[in-house]
Amino acid sequence: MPSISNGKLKAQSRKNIIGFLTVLAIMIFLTSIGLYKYFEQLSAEISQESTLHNAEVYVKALEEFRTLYTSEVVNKLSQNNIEVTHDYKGKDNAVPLPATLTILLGEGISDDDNSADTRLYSPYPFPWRSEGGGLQDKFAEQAWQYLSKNPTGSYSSFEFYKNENVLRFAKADLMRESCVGCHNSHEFTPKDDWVIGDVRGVLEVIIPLDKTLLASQERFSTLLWIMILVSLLIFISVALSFIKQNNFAFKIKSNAILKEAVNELNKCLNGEQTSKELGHNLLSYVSPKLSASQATVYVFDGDTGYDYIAMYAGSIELEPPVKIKLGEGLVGQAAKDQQSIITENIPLQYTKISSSTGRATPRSLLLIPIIWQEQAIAVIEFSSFGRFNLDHQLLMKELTPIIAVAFHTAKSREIKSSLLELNKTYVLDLQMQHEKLQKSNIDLKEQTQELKASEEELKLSEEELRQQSDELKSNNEELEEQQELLEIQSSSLLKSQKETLSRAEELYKASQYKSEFLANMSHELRTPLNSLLILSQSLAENKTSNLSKQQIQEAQVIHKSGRSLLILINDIMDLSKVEAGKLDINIDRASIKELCSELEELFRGIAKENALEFVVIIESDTPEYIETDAFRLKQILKNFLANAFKFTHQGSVCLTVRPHNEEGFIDNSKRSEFINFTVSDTGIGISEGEKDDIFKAFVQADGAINRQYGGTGLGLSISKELANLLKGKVVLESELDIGSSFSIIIPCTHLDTASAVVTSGTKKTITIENEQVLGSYQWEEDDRNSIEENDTIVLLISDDRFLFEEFTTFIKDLKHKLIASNKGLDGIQLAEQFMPSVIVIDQIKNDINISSILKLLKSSMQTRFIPIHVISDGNEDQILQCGAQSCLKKPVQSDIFNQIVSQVISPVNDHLKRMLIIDSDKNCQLAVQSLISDEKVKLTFAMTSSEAISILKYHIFDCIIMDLELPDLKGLPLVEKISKQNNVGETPIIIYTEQPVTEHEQRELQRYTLSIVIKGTESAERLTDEIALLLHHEEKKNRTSQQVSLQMLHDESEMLVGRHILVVDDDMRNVFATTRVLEYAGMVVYQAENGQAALDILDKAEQPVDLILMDIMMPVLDGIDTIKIIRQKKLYRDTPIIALTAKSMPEDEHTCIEAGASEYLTKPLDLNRLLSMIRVWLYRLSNKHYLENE
Amino acid sequence: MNELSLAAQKKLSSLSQIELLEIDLLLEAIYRRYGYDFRHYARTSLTRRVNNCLSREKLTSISALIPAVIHDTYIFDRFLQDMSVTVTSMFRDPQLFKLLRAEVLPKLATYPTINIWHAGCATGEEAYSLAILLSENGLLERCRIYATDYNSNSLKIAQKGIYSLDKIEEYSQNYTEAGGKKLLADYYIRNASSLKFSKKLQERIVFAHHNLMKDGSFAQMHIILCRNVLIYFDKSLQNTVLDLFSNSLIHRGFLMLGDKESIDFSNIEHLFETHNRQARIYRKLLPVSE
Repeated sequence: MPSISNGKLKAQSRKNIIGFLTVLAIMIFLTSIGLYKYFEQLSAEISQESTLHNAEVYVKALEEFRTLYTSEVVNKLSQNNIEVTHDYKGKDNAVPLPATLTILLGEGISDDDNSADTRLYSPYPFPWRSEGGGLQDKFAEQAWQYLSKNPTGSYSSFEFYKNENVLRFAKADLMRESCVGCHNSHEFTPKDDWVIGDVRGVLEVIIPLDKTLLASQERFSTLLWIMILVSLLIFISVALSFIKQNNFAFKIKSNAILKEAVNELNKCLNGEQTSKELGHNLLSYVSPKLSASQATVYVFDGDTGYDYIAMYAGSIELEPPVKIKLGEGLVGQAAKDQQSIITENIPLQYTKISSSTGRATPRSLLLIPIIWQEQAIAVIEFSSFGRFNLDHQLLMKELTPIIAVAFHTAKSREIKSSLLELNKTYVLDLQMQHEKLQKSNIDLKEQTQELKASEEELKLSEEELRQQSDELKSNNEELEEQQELLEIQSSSLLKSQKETLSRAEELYKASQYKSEFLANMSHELRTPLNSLLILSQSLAENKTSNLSKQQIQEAQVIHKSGRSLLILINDIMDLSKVEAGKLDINIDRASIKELCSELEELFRGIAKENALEFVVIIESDTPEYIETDAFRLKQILKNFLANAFKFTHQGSVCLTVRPHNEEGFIDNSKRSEFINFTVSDTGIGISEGEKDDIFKAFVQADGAINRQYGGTGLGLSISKELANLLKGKVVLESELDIGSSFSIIIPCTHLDTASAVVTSGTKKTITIENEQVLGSYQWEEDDRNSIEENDTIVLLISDDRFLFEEFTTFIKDLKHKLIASNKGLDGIQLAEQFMPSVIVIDQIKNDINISSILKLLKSSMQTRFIPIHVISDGNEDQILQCGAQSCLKKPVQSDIFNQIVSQVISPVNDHLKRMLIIDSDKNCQLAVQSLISDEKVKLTFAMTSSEAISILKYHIFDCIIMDLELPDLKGLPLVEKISKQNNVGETPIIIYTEQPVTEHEQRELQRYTLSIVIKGTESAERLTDEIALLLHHEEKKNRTSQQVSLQMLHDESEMLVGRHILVVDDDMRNVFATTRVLEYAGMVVYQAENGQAALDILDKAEQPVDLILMDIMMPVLDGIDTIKIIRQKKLYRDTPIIALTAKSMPEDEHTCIEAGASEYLTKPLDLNRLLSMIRVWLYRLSNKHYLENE
Repeated sequence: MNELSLAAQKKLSSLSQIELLEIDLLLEAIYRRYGYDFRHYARTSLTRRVNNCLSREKLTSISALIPAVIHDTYIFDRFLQDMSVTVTSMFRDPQLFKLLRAEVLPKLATYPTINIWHAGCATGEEAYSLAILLSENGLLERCRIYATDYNSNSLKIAQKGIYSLDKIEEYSQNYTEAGGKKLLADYYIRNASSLKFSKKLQERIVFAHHNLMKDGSFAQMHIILCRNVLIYFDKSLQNTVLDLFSNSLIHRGFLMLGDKESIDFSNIEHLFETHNRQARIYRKLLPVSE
């Protein structure tokens, strides 16, 4: 960049000034002259103009005067004979002519030299004016020419006339009206054809200018001086302003230069430069500007010092210090003071400024601190050969701020970039973390999902839990109720126990008394009796023969009576002994033959007496000897025979002895172990109903017999007891009027066998007091003597000692009790005695077989419910059919054992375990089997009704599912038959049938069951539901909170028993429930499903119905109408009708009563209430009848 | 006053206190006089109806309605009509009938007789629809449909079985949509302006007067339909009615409600399982224990 130094600039500017000023002066001068001239002219013109104007005015005045004179004066004058002439002066009556007057006036006015001169002339002057009145000069001619053409105009000129500058102003002298006449008529007129408006002549005025000119010239000279002054002033001011402007321009220029420099510097320092670069660029730019030949830059390090960053034109030797502290050296000082330092006259030692052609010490140094925000952020040192003058300083002053900014910026930038670097690292870190976070976010999301899922599950399980808790609650309630119940039961048990104990004590005491009494009585009774007998006998013998026949007879009678009495007493004694358990049995070997012959002898006589045949038969297989108490046996047989003879009038009495085989009980292959003594007769026989009774003490069949036949009726009961003692049984067969046969069956060997036999028709008992008989035999050391109240007892029937050991171990682990026997029959006895929770039967050698044991156990009322598990290798099916729960194989594992035992421990949860399925369709069986997948449920199948019945003989089930169509029996009869089986009782029945059931059938069936399932696609589900429902009902039954209180049912006055009631309701279930309760209470229930059916029943009934239950809302014929119709019937006008309705509005009740109902109950029915209501109405009815009948 | 939801309360707060009192008194009066307990109807819809009644009877205040209703049974009759909803049509919500056909009826085919209770049957169209449905599935002979309502006028119409032909198009369409296998026309006879359903259908339906608020259970049902009735009741009344239904159903019986109703949060919730939540079909659980 070309740099123009200030000095040059200044010089140039001076030159400029001078030149300009010179020019200016000249210009002004010239201008002034010009102006002067101009003004001069101007003034002349002005004066001319004014003169002209004056002339005009003057002329006009003259004209006007003339005209006026002419018009006003002359006319009148002429009329008045006054002469108007030019030559008037001499005349008296003469006045001047207008023209003359005018001239005169003019002359008069322009008397002196200064004023105007007036002339009047024309080319036609009047003679008198020939001198002066004609056109005399050029001007006049010119004027006349002009004015003739332009009469209204004027003609003037400035001339030099008569040595004067004058204005000659001419105007046309026009003919006026007044003039014309005169002029035309004047004698001397030069022209006489004047017209108005013609130009007569010229009126000229001559006005001298000189005076004006002089005056103006005077003024003008003043003006001139003024002007000179003014121009001088102008000149000065202009000059000054020019100088100023120049300076200003100079300043601007220098500023511009500075600015340029600044701009350039800016450009230099532009861009993103580091401090170092900045320094270099800076120096490169600035140094030449300052004419510095060397320079360095130091930059603030942020602390207390300055770092060297750049150098300009440094020489090799120059090693500027890297760091300069604040205040250290010139640099430091400059920084500290924040002032530039100029040093001159640098000594030689200083680093030289060098170039290729030489080197030398600089002359001056300039140190400039760069200030930024009151701090020196850099210091620049310049060294130069020259001096640093003000310009330089100024320049630097300008540049310093920029430099400061630049450095600052650079620094900031550096800081920024370092920060950026940091930032970058941070960003990287953040990115990494971000990634990590993302990952963990995903993880969290997954976890959240899982949580949600588990939350869902939780919700579900919460639901389940809620349900379960509800269930638990209700279970709890049930359990509490049961607990209460149990408590009540246990307290009552305790009570009864106490009572029992006290009773037992009493009994004991009583029996003590009894035996004492017996003993005493026996003696006391017999003693007098003895005497009686002896004496009566001796009397009867009539040894002294002093008695009459009559008296002998009487004595005989006494004797007989005594004998009878004695027999009676003996019998009573025996009986009571037997009952007291004091009767002794002496087992000994007895010979059959001997026994029979004895009996034969004994009764031969009686037989003869009664004309009856008496036969004794001993069959061939009969053993010779048996082990028994012969005396007692004889007693029994004697009793039988006695009875036989007593009650037989004709025919025979036969005693048969033979070995005994009971069918089905004993294995045929074995040797018979019993012996049968039968006394059969052809007597009066015994009727069915009496068969049971006769064994009771003191009962003879039909009390009347006693009167007829005599006898105490004790014999048979004693026989029965004795038979028991002998471990035998008594069997009776008889037919009225045909005959009877009494058999006593006793074992051949007494001790080893025990038969659990059942007397036909009666429940069996084993008198527990005969302890010496029972329990005297024990196979192994078991727990039978240490049984406590709540113990779980396991009965093992086996001869396997190892098994016994095993079981003992099992039992010990479970803390139960074990009783065992190695004889089947003994085991059965134990079962009856101890009522174990479970029985395990093993095959015993040389003993009755398992199926027999099973059958025996199952047919005994007490033991039939005990689960039996069989250990056998034999026929599993047969065993299971006989009623075993399961068939195990040896060795028995402990877990199986546990299973067996534990199954029993919770009787409360005794669920559906046994189900009987009666269906001829094998597929159906399979279907049901697959349906009931519960392992705990044992299924039994039957294809025909007879099969089912035979199964039901020995087994009890929890539920029966049956088809309605079996090959041998169908429909209602089938259901009836099955229900009537002994073992069915309350067992729920589900009917599972293919054919849809008609309503009528349904009504019939509903007496037995409400659950009817029609086979179909959804029937599986339905079946499951029904079974589950039954479970629920079963459990419900177990609770005592029954719908109808038992009290209600066991009505003492027996008001309801035998009454006929009609239930009219279309809802099957309602009818079912109601009917059941009513039937339970003893009523006979008719059912109708709608009004019409009800009416039909009423019409057809043999016996009038005692009470009607009428549902209101029914199809076909609704309740209200039905009641009305019923009331119309004579028979039923007063019959109580109880209306059952779901509606509860007062008007509904009203409607019912109006129709004829006696009473009104709302559904759902409270059965207790219903019963009491029925009772009330029937009572009323019966009372009414009673009253009426009275 | 019975419990109201916050929203309902807000709505009602726009009514003045006096109006609320009047309504309470009116309902109490009706209950005492006639035994109809509207005190537990949902207040918002109830208020609307009361106002309708007011304007129809040209009375100025609700209190004026009280003596009118007490003394004039005709007015009360009309009021009753107002209160009962009689909107119904054949095969209303055909999808529901379709579901019935597909899912419910097969299950019921295992019963020898089927009792169906349609509570709130209004003029009986839906009861006839049910009968048609059953007939097509061969179950009609076994079924007995009890259709009840407390509006005697509607019952009379239903009993007659005569309806106008106005909506026959809609009905036929509904019938087809519900899976009808034949034509709706096969089930009725018609003249110029009305149709009458065949006797075969009528035989199986018992129309009876039954007030859900007060009356009890009258038989054990296999299906109970009660649609768009409960929405007019408040919570306590809903619970009462649902209890009634629960007691009137056999085990594994079906309860079908309207699509804005459900058994959730009611007393009987735990006694039922949801067979089809969308269609509001519930099934009574067996009274259970393990």
